[in-house]
Amino acid sequence: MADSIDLEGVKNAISESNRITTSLSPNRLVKNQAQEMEKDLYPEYETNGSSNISATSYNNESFFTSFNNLFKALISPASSVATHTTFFKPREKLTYSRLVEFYIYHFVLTMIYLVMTFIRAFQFVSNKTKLKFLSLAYNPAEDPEVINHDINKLAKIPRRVSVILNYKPEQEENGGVEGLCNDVSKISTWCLSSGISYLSVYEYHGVLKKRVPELRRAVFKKFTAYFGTENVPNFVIKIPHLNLSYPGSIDGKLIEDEAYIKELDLSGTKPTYDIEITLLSMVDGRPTIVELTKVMADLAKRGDLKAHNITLKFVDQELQQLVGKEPDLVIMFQPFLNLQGYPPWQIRLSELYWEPDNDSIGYAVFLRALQKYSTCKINVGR
Amino acid sequence: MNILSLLSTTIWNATIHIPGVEYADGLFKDFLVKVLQTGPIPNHISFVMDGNRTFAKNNSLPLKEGHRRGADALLKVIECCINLGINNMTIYAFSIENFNRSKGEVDTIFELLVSKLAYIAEDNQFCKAKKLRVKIIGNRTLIPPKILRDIEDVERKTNEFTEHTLYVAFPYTSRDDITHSVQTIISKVSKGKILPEQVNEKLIEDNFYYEGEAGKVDILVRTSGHTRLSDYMLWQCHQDSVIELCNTLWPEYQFYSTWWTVFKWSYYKTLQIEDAEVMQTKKIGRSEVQKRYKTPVAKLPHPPQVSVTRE
Repeated sequence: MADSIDLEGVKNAISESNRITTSLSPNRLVKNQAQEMEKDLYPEYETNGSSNISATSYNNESFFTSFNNLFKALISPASSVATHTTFFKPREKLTYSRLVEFYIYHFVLTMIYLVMTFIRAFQFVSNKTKLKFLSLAYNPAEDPEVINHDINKLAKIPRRVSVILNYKPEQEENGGVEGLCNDVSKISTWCLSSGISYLSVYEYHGVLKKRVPELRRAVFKKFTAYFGTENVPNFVIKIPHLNLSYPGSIDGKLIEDEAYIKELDLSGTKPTYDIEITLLSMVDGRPTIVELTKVMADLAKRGDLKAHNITLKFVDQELQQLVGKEPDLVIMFQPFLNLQGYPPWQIRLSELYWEPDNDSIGYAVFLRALQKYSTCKINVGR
Repeated sequence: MNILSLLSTTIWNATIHIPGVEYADGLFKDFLVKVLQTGPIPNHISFVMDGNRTFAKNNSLPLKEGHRRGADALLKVIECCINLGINNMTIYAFSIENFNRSKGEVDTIFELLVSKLAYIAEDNQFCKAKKLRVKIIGNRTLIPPKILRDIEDVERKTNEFTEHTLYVAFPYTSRDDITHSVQTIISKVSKGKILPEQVNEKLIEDNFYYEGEAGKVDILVRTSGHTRLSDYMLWQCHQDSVIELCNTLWPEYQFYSTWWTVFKWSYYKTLQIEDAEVMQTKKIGRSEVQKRYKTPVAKLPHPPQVSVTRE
C-alpha cells in the first residue's frame, strides 16, 4: 500500500520552513500606524452592553422566553425557521402531502425542543446551585495567604493566564467601567497571590484601553487592600497594539505623573514588575493580522520582502510583538464557551475554561480553572 | 464507569444481532434525521477526531485497531451529516505536529487514510451514492509523493460532485494555514497581481487552503474531553461559532452523538432566530426601507396644531 514515510526528511523540511530569513520587522510599522490612527480619531466605544456578536450562543434565556419562542416556531415555521431547513430538496415541487409531512415532523421536533427546554431549566438551576456552593466553599477572604495555600496544593500552574471579561451596562450590578476595573484588579491579585506574573485581559470593545488611569487606581487600591500599604507589588499595564506601557506602581508608590514616566524612560532603568497586565480587544484579533499582511505587502511591493521570507516562525515573531505570547490558560467568566474574536494566533494550545451558566467573576471559578490546568497533559501532536 | 460502558456495549452488541433490531434501528434513525431536517441546519461542521488511542487502550486493542475503528466511525458520522443536509464537513485527519509520533504510527495513519479515501471514491461507492466531493486542505509539500498522487487521484475522481464536500485537513495546522495565506498574498503582490491596499479579511480567507470555499465553521466538535483547539481552525471558529467539546472518544462518536450535537445547535439557533424576529433585528435591505417609508416625515399630514404658546 502506501510507501513508508521518510519521517526525518519531513521533519527537516518543517524545521527548514520555520527559519527566519529576514531581519525586517514589519510590526514596528503596524504599531506606528496604529498610534497615528489613535491620534487622528478617538473612537468612542459602544456602550450597548454585553451584547457582543451574533454567535449561536448557548445562552441561558429565561425559561418562559424559550417557551414562547418555541411555540412561535411551531405555529409559523415557514416564516423564519423554514428558510434554513433542508427538508425540501432544491427545486422540489411542493405538494400538499409533502407539506403535511413537514408539519408532522416539525411538530415532533418542537416537542423534543420543549423537552430540551425543561432539561435546560433543570441544568440551569443545578449549575447555579453548584456555583453558589462553590463560592461558599472557596473564599479568598481578601488574604493572599489563603489563596497561596490553595494554589500550593496543585501540581503545576500556568505561566501566562488570560481572561475574557464582558462589559456590562452601568445600570447593572458591578457594571460599567468601574465594575470592569474592579474585576481586573480582583483577578490580578489572585494571579499575583498564586505566583502568576503575566495576565492578559480580553474585552471585546476595548473599553479598558481608554481608561488606563482608572484601572491603575483600582488595581493599586486592591493591591493595598490585599498586601498592605507597606508592601504594594509593582505592576505595569501594557497595550501591545499601541506599543504603550503604563507603570502602575513602583516601590509601593502609585505612578500617575506622566513626567515621571518619561523620566524613567529616558534614564533607561528598567524597574522589575511583579505582574504585567496586558489589555487586549477585538482589534488584536483578525484586524491585526490583516494590518500586518498589508504592511508586509507594502514592503514586498518595494522589493524589501520576498515571499519565501514569510515563514511560520517569522509571522509568529511579528504577532508576538504585536499582541503578545500565547496564554497557557484562558478563563472565560461567562455562561458558555464563546471566544468573542479572541486573537486567533494566540489560542493555539491554550486550555479553555469556563463554568456553565456562570456569569460572575468569582474566585471559585479562577481556582477551579487552575485545578483543571494542573491535571492537563500537554502533548504537542504526540 | 468503565465497567458500565463495557456492559452497555455488550448489551448493545447482543441486541443488534437479534433479527429485526438493526432494521428498526435504521428506521428510527431515518425518522430522527427527517425530524431534525425540519429545523435549521448548519452549513459547515468540523471534527477533531481525538481519542482513537485511548479507545484502543481502554478496550485492550492494538493501536492499529483503534485507528481503524476511528475510520469506521468517521464514515458513519459523514453519512449522518449528509443525510441531515449539511453541505461542508471538515475533518482533522493529521496535524503537522503529528509527524513527531513514532514512524510506525505515522505509517499506519497514512495508510489507513489513503485506503479509506480510495475506497469511498471507488466507482459506485460512497462518494457517488452521496454525491460527495473530497478535497484536501493542508500543506501538500509535506506529503510523500506517492501518497500525494493517490490522494489527488481521489480528488480528481470526486471532482464532479458539488452537493457535499468533505474537507480533509492533512497535514494541517491553523498557523501554517494563516502563514500560507499571507505568503500567497505577498507573492501575488510582488508579481503585481494585487495591490497592498486590497488586503483585507476576505482576501486572507480566500487564500487559505480552503480557497474561499465552505464559509465559516458553524460547529466545531472535539471529542475525548480536551478543552483546547490544538492549532485547528483558529481563524475559522474564534468568533460566531459553536465549539462543542464532548467526552466521548472518537470511535464511539457515531450517529446518535452527531445527531445530538446538531440538535443542540438547531435548538439554540431556533431560539435565536425567533428572538431576532421579536427584536426586529432582522435586517431589511435598503430597497425595502425605501419602499416602506416613501414619504418623508415632514410631509406627512396631520390635524391642525393648537397650542398656548404663540409662534
